[in-house]
Amino acid sequence: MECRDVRKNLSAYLEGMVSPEDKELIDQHLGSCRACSKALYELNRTGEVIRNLPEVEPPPGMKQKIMARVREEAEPTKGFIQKLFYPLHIKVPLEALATVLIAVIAVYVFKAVEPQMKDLQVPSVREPVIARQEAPYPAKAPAAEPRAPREKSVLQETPGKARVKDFAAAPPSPPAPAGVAPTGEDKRVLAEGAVRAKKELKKAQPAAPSLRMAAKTKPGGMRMVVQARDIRHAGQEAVSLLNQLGASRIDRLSRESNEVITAELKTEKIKELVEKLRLLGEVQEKDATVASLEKDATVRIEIIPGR
Amino acid sequence: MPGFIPRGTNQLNSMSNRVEESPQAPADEDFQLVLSCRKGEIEAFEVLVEKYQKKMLNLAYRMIGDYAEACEVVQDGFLSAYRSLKKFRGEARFSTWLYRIVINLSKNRRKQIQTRGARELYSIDARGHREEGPLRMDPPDPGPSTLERMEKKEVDARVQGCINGLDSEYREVLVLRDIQGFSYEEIRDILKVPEGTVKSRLFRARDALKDCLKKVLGDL
Repeated sequence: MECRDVRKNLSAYLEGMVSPEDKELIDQHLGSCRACSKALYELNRTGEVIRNLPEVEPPPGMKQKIMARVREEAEPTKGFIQKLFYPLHIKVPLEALATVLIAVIAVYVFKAVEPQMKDLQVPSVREPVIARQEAPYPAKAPAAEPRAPREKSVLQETPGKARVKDFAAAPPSPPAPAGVAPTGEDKRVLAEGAVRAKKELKKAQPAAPSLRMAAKTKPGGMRMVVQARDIRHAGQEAVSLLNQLGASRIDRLSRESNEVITAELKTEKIKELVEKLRLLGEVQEKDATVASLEKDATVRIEIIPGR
Repeated sequence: MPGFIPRGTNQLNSMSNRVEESPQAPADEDFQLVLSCRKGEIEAFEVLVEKYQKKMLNLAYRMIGDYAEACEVVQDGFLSAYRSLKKFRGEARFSTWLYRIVINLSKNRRKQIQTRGARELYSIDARGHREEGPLRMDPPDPGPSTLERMEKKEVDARVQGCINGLDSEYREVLVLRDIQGFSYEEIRDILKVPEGTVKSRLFRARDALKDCLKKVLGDL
């Protein structure tokens, strides 16, 4: 065996990993080759030197440092990841339950609020309906309604109600089917209708405050002048008389010089009224248009001092 | 020197016994601890850290040659192992798996260090395993009595310098076999290379180290 072959196998030889035949050959060579024997010695010494290397000790607290980092790693996993990716068999039913709860709460809240919502919606709902009914007939609506009855209704009702009544009286408008959105033209007409409705309301409003003025100007009324000794007493008597005859809207205005009483009375009762007023004093009938009057006539009794 | 060969043989063989683990029992114990860790018992992992931190540190230190860097690598290694515990199926021993992690981290760390050029390294042989970067040749020691005159610390440092100078594939088998004392079978499992390759690398590593030691320490 050559030196080169022996050197190549020296490590295996030292570990007893060569075959018995090779071992014998190497032994023979080592016995005669000084250089190879020296190489074997050096290799053996190398092993000793390495084996004698001291072991190093971990620095104090290294385990704690490692565990601190491990805990840091573990905690967010428990806190965040596990919450986020809960096992599905727990997570899904929980989410389903939460959804049902939210739905139930929403229904209860809606039911609780619904009555209040209706109250709130009333004015805003009526207006467009009225405007829309009138919209297709912007010109016909005023013509269909005579002037006098309109004023009468204004007198009888509050301004807001009067307005509603007026438009409700207007002819219905079936051409626009319910639920169909108005076209551009419709919208314009609708707007015009709304503007006109406002104008009419403005016209009506000044008439409302003074009932007396309205009664004076009303055609077909009856005016009587009664001369009485005690105008106050006569006034009271006249009012109680009107009440007895079933008059409505009795209004009494006491002044120093006279008493003015206005009321609405059925036409057939007017005669009886005149007769009974004669008991209080001398009666002068100024506007005797009773025959031409309708069912209800406005009566104006003026009591002045007399004999 | 007729008695030298058997003694040397025994000495080298005895190095394999430095890791004193009976093959089965500790492995089972480790696996139980791993299972506990998976259930969230961090204390079980602490037991494993306590048990293996010194071995891992020595391995990392011999692989890198720098104590502080080795400490960091060991910490990273345990943390990496903890993160990957779910991947550990118990096919290999926990220690084998952990050694592999630490060796790989050590190799990577050494590459980083060499890239930075922050370390002073020793060349070990004329053939020159210099793939890992430029190595600084230490001047050969003149006298034969250097080994006796030198402080133990100094000798250790030079020996470590020679180990550092080995190519990583030689260094790892040398450290695992001659310093850590693993069997060829275990080294094969840790490094995942055939046993024949482990042996051939080891024998070349010893030759290279012997040549280096002769240069830095004088005659052995």
